[in-house]
Amino acid sequence: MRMAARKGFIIIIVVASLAVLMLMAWAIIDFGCGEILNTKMRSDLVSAYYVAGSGAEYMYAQLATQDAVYWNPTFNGTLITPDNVVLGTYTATAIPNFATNTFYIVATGVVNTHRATVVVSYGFLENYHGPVSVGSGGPMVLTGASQAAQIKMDGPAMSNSTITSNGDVNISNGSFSNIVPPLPTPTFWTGQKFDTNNDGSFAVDTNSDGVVTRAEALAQGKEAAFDADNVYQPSRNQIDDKTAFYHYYTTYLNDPANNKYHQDLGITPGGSYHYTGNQSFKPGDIPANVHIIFVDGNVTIDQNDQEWKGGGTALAHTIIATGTLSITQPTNRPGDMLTLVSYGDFYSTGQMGNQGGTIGDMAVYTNGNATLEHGGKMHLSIYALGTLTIDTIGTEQGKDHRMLTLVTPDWTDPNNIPVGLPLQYPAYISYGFLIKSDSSQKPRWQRI
Amino acid sequence: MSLIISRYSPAGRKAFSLVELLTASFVALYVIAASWSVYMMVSRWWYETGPKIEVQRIARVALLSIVEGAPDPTTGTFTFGATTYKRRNGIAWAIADPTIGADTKTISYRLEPDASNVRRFYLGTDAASGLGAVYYRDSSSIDHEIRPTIGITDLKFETVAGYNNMIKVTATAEKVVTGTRQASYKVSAQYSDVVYLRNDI
Repeated sequence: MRMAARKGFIIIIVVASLAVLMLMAWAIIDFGCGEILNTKMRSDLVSAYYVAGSGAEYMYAQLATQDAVYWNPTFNGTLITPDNVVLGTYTATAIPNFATNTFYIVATGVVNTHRATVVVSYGFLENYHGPVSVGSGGPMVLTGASQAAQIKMDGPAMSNSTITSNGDVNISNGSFSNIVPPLPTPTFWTGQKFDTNNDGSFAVDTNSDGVVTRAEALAQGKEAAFDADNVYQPSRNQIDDKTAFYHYYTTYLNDPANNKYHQDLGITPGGSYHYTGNQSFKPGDIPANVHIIFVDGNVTIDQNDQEWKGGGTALAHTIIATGTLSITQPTNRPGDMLTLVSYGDFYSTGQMGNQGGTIGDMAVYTNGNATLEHGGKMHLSIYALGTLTIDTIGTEQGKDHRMLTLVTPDWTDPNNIPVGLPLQYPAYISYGFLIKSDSSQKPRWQRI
Repeated sequence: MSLIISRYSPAGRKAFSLVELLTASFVALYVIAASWSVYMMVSRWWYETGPKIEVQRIARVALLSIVEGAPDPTTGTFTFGATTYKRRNGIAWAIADPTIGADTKTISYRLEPDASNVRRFYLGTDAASGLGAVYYRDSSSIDHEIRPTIGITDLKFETVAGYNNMIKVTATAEKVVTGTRQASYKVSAQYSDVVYLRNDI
């Protein structure tokens, strides 16, 4: 044996021993760290589960307490301890099922990137069945100046957009914004769009801007069809929604086959009750036997269009305006029905106690915006496709108080629906929201 | 040159040098210590830590299986958008007061109002090993062994403070460890969870 070989042998032993030790140490550390990480992950998942539960509880509280119910909303939140330690974040969403009158709250909690999802199902009640009370396609803004001049209405207030309540607003049936399904949008097209006369020949809206112009028709070789369909103010050289609006009343509804009176209503161009240009009406201007008048222009009504003093039979009048429609101090008698439809905006003002308010009923539809200012007492169904604003403005006790109640006729019977309301007017709807009590439908919690 | 050692030579030597002796002693000590450490670590893991982890895992899995449950196609589904999720079958989702067996090792419950839709968790015996195991009996009375719980020694269900919708579940797992330097001994883990049955109101 040589010395050099023995020295190398010792080195090999040392290195081998160190390698074994390092391997073992690595294995143990790896195992230990794995256990720690697993424990941490498990802890995070449990925490995330309870964070998600908090999100679900928060969403439930929102749905159960707010005036306006937002379907498919998403609430994002962070759970923080009193000493500002962030425990986790959550996202909660409410998903309705209208077929079963149930909704799910789906809440996901996240703690250190670990996620847990909780699902809770509840039942809800539709607590309103009837005509649209106060509805809008656009935003709705309700402002009651003070308790003495508050907005107090049956509701429900329903908007396809948002509802903003300011001041003293009391809605007995609640308010519902961003409703699903939304309130319908009347279009007044009675057949194929842009085919006003329904003869099957029409020009196409090639640029999809909602209007067919003569230039578009020319480009399609459809000038003759365009001329036949261009029934409203032909000099405008365009067929649009206003054309449909005009045609719907002056041609379609005027036809005895299409109105509930089964008679010529006299609102075709040249008819007895077709007016061109701005018009003003005051009590007594419209005979009792006139069902509807059509104004191609703006309409201003002082107090009412009908005789409101004295007795007599109940009156039902409808006024259609292609422009704006304004009414000051709407007033009528029990059993009367005043229906106002405008393609432009609608404006109403007045004060409670002055001429008694609308003791009868009033129905309003406007393709534009609607504004009701100051006070008054009405049995009203109003639907504005645009923005609806109700503002008491003043603070005069007993005068600037806006009090709206539901219309009294039963509109489930089509014969009771006033003539002139658009065909798609929501004369009967089922809406509302009330979470079923635990005793009638238990909430169901689950973890996904 | 030292008087007690002499330099090695192929022709013959009387002893190692001092440096060689110290180096060899140090290395030998180092190797012996390392070997002892490895032995101790392996022994500890094999006979002490490992069994503890095992019984803890068994008890923990038993609790999770019983309380949270697993996604179960027989319990119905949730559908969000186009995605369908199976519901879980743990007792946490029971909709009515569960029934606890007289031996406290069985709990029967329902996830749906249908009275025939009864499920059950209970302590049984694994046929192959003879060890205890948690079983789940579905609404069709088919038993499913929850295999990760094989080795569980006790399972207990009880109501809390008289509330039938608050259930305390206690899982105990024990293991006798033999083959160590000392006499055989027992390691055990006992976990409890109190479940508020929020669907049972």
